[in-house]
Amino acid sequence: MRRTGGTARRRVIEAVAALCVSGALLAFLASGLGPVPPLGQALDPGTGVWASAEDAAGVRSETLRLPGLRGPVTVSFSPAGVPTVAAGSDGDLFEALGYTHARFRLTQMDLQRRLGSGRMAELVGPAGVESDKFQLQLGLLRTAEAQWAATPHDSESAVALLAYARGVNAWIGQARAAHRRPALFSLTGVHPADWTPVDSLVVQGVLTENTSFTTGPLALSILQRSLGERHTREWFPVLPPNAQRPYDPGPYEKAVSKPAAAGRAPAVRDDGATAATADRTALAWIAAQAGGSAGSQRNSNAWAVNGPLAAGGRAMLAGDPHLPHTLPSYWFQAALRSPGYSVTGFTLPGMPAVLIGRNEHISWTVTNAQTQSTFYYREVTDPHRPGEYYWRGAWRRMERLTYAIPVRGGAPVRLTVDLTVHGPVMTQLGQTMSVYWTGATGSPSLTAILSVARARDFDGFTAALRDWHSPAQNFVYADDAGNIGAVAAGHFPIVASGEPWLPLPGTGAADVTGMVPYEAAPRVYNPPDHMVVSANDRPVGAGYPYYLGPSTGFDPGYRTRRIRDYLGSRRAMTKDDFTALQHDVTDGLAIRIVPRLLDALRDDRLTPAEREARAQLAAWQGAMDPDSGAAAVWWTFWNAYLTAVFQPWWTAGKVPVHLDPGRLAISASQTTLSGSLESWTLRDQDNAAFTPPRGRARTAREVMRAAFHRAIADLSARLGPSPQSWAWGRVHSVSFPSLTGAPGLGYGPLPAGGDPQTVNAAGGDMSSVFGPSMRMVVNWVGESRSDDATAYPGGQSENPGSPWYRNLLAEWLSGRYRPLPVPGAGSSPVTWTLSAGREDG
Amino acid sequence: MTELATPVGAGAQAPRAFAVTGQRAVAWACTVVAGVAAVWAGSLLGWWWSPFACGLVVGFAARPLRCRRRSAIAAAALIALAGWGLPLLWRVLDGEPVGAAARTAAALAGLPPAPVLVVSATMLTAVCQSLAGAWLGWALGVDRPPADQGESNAQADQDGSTAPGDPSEA
Repeated sequence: MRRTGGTARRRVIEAVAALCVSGALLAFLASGLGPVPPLGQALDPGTGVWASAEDAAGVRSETLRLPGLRGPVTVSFSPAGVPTVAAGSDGDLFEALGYTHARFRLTQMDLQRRLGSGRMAELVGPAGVESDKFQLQLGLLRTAEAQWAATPHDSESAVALLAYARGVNAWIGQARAAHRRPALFSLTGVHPADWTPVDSLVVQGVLTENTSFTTGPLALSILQRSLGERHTREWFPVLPPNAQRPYDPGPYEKAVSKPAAAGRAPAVRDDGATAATADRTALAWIAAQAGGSAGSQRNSNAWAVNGPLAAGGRAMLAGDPHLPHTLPSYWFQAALRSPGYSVTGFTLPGMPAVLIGRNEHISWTVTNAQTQSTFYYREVTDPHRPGEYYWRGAWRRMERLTYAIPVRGGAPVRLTVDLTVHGPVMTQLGQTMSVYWTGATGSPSLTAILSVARARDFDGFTAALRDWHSPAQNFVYADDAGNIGAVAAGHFPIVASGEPWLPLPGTGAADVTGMVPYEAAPRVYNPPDHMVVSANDRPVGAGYPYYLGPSTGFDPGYRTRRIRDYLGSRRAMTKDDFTALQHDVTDGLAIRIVPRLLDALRDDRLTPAEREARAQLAAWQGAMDPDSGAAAVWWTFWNAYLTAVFQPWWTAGKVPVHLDPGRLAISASQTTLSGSLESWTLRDQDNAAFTPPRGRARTAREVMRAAFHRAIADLSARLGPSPQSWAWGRVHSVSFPSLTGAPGLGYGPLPAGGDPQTVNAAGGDMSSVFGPSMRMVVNWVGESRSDDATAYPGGQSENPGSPWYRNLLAEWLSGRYRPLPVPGAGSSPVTWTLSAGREDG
Repeated sequence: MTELATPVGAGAQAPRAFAVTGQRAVAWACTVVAGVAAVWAGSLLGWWWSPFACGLVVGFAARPLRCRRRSAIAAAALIALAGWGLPLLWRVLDGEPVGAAARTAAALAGLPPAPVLVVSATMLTAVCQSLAGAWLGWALGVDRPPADQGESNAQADQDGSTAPGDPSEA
């Protein structure tokens, strides 16, 4: 009996133990633990991450049924993966485009909408909460929802958005049924929800945020507190400190002014300490969440020529908008043809439109206008009146919104957002700081770009862009009739009073009272020199009657100068001339400064290495080639020169660089500092800035020598004692990180030429991850006939296993181009035939 | 389903034992094949827990069928390995870039982008499930009452399984 009882007991214990272990294992596999995803579902060979191999195997011809189609649609793929969509109706066209985008870029689309909608934490866990808070504060989702609610659902853009969403959802449905989700979703167990028109508008908002939201006024305010008002105004002026060549040099119409009504403000807690605290708090928070140095990257190029400058006498256009390098690339190339559209170029996954490209008669590209879109307001509040702010003579109640942020692997996080008349309250420490951002006011940009795609001439083009509110962009134009032009489209706010480049009082006295009239926006058409150039520099001269933003927002114009010099020195240019210019790495600033440096070094005592480096500079033509030793010397010198001049002031003023290094640190990326230093070096070598605070007097010549010695010592330490072995590519690289941030899925780093000031720009620091997101040249050779070329860093597919993941990267790196796909052209060995019906799956 | 235990008398002749062993091997193999098919089918349906379910069935059936414990464990492990390994092999044969998919998954998971890591994790996930299922099934299984004590003892002598009430059962 005892033996039997003992056995039974042991069996019970074993059963309980097995049950516990099995339960724990299944729970772990089903739900994951901490950072470990639910491995059961994720690793299932039929439906988990392995299913992504099926989509990586390459595209093959298919016959598919999509709900909502009115007729058959074909999607034909070039060998490089570029689709040509042909549909019998515009709705079908956009539905097919949505389906195609989703097949190739669902992860990118979902990440973009999650980012803008404040739902990243749902995918990545607690690490995404701060980003979600920021985005929900800023309000891309609110803007998108309001915009969709205000869009007539029979309008052109609504039809496109609804059809597009139908197409995206057709693939999401098929993927769900067939368990063919992208690896990221299989791995996390968080699957993409159905797509809506609001999601497309959120994606549009993310692009707007990336290109126009800025911390500039907060950074300038902090610099002013640290360096003093005089130095800040002198070193960071509103108008550019150096000579510029804007595309719209004037003359200009007189400004229309609209004074704002503002009530008498009560006494408020506005001493310097609280304001400084508010600035620092807001800058640190926003810079950290908006990716740091928000809006500070500026490297896009666009130009057009006509008449004698273009071979054949018609018009030619080039464009290469610069964005963060990612794999997959930001853009998705496509050609679209339907009764209403015949357009080819670059689409943004998530949006039903070609943003940059050409139709049968016109071609266009964009550069960021860099005008000020973000205005910060110090709201007047009272501790005895919680939830209220003072505006135009009365206390007003803030609108309060609450959100619950879903967090993967954790409890939802509750967020409260207060809204004033200016916009959302971003921070409240020290003072209540709200932000007015044009991107939050809604923009029928989709309507505008759809109309651009159908325009036939410059009048139609500019009429279409009247509806483009944000982000403000320079649209550069060329057509088959030989015309060229440019227009800055977007909202340029008019502020009633005050200094809008700094945080403004929220009492109503400095409110945005209107926008620069569209007719007065920077614009040029068929200029007499037969060229239009835009490279993020200020598009107008000093006499322009409206405020567009401080010089810190604009490019200092080095690229524009270089492009103009290049175009002005040639006649009857061909497509090859344009592609060569797109790869030009000549640093225009170096060409002007190096002679002054050599002059300063003429009677200086130099070491053998310094003499060798000086000889390299003397023989150098300013090309930032990867194998150039002189390029490494120049760039190291220029940064040392900037530091030698400004660092003593920064140290004395205790500039809190850590809050936003991209905007507060001394570097060549601080283009206004570069512009100021350039100007003094060329024309004012005794400027007081060269003499450090409480130091002995110095001149530019003396500081240049010291900076040169320091640069050579720095390079000797990093690259060895012999300048003959130095090369720019040994200290400067370019990388293409994965959109997901996964290190193993990116490409690079590779030795790279260029710098932020060259036409072929490499933005950012010495490990560049910012540059031309695509390159396009459209050469109009006849009516409705063009000879095009494009290059594209990456590939069409986001699946790292796909042959189309980075198949175009090598061409991009080596400077080779392909033609743009022609809408409706020919057949392809790989074609999807889409027809109406219940979706497959 | 699982390895069948043929009743063997205490005084069984060697040739008969050999025949019995052959039948048991065939039954064991059939069980494995059926299990692999079930797990494979389950994976296509998204039933990622199918290795556990098969292991559970194998373990539960082993006892009344007088299967050796280690035979049940081996069957469960093999079912899991083949049930999840063969679909992957099938993908490879079909031209799908399974290695690239594994590299992607590893990179997304923050691991070194080595395909072997994800392949190993996949196999381990299947095997752990199956073994846990087999253990639970074994623990919950009910021994078939022996026809007589001699049969029971003979069975225990022959295949190492435990007779009911045998205190030496681990």
